[in-house]
Amino acid sequence: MRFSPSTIRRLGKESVEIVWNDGHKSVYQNRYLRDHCPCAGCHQRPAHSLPVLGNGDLYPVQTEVVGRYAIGIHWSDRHDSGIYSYATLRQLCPCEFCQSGVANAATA
Amino acid sequence: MTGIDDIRERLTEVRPPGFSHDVVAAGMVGSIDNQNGKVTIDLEAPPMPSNSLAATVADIRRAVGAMEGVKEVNVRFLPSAHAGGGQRPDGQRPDSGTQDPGSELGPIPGVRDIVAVASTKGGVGKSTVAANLALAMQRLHQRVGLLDADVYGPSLPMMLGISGRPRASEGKRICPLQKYGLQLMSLGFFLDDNSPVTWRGPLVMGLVRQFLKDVEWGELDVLVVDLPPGTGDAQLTLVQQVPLAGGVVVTTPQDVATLDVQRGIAMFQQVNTSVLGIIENMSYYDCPKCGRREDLFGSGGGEQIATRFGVPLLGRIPLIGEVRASGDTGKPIVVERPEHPVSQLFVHIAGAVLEAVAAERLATAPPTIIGE
Repeated sequence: MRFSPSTIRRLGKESVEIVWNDGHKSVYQNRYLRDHCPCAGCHQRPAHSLPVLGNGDLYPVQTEVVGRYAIGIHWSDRHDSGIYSYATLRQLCPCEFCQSGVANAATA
Repeated sequence: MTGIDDIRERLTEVRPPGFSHDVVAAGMVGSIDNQNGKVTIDLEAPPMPSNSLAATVADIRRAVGAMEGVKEVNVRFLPSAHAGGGQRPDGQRPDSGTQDPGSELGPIPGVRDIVAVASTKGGVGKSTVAANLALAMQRLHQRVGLLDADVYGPSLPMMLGISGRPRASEGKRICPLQKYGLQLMSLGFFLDDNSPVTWRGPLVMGLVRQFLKDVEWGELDVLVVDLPPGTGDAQLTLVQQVPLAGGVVVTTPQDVATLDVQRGIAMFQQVNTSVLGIIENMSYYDCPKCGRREDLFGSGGGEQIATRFGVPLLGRIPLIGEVRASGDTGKPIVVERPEHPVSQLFVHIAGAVLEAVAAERLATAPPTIIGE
């Protein structure tokens, strides 16, 4: 099955919530998502978000659909080159079920 | 004689994967028509994965096809209000309000579906296929545009016998050129014949973006994009800038055994875009003197790949002089000799592509983005 989000909801300065086409719901804390930015720069040298930004100051200011496979997030720290593919986002889902590896085994 | 109500009754046995209701109870079945055993069913499907949709259509065909007196079952897709990938009937972009109005990403206004024609290896006749496919779609009453995104070797001007510089519209947008009823854009329109394009990636990306977004395409049913060979900047930009309805991969029989085609398919899969099918070009040669069929580049490769990746083989186009010659003189075979078997084959392939695009449009809707 190809996972794709049916709704992406920015929950203010806290988190981003995705409801997937299979009904699964993922909730990502903003900092968690920002620290897992998949862009080439962050990937090579994980500088992560500016440490001076408190949790309430780091949030997505704009979210856009990229083609049919990803979303782009513009962060409040002006970082905007991360393209989060649906596959990556699904893997990043912090819920207990997804992180236990059972989900991957079931869909493999 | 099987009545319409009997068919509707039979359809209650078909339940799409993952649905709690059958297709009738779910309100997916529109009108049903039975002309002497030729049954046509209109289907309005909610967004669902394409394989589920394909399974549903197959189940419908099987269930109704088994009924007494039914010779043929056609399933037509009705445009659905849920359908994604393009404009909604109300003209609203699905994510309007949350997406920055200045954002360049997203569908092209006025263009319903975008189909990419790709090959991972050069010289397989991709541009010939793209041009004939676009013209064949037009014969199926579609409004078609053809974008030659082959930056390094634009061949569309020669293939369609067209030259001239596109003008700028009042809004400083680029007006496409027209030939044979197609809306056309190519880098070749801007170059002298002999100047090579030695461009780095960012320039290529900028050009593809401009050709998609700054060209006054008008109202189109399908925009066919002829990609350069390979899996590089032009391909990546295309799939990131616009939601593609799908890709068509062109190959020759001997290549399909190699890794090349697999890479092409994998590229589309990586970006969640369906491969609508494979077209095998230069498939065989029928000797005009003795009538014997020669498989110059081997045979069966397209079928192998199609089976292995679960992608349909849309057609096998023979190696014949007319296809090549008609391209060289700027009159593709579909226009020059519409009655030719190869032209009819292209129309058949175009029909299959359009059907797959329609199914894809129903199966995938872009996500709704809600900001707080």
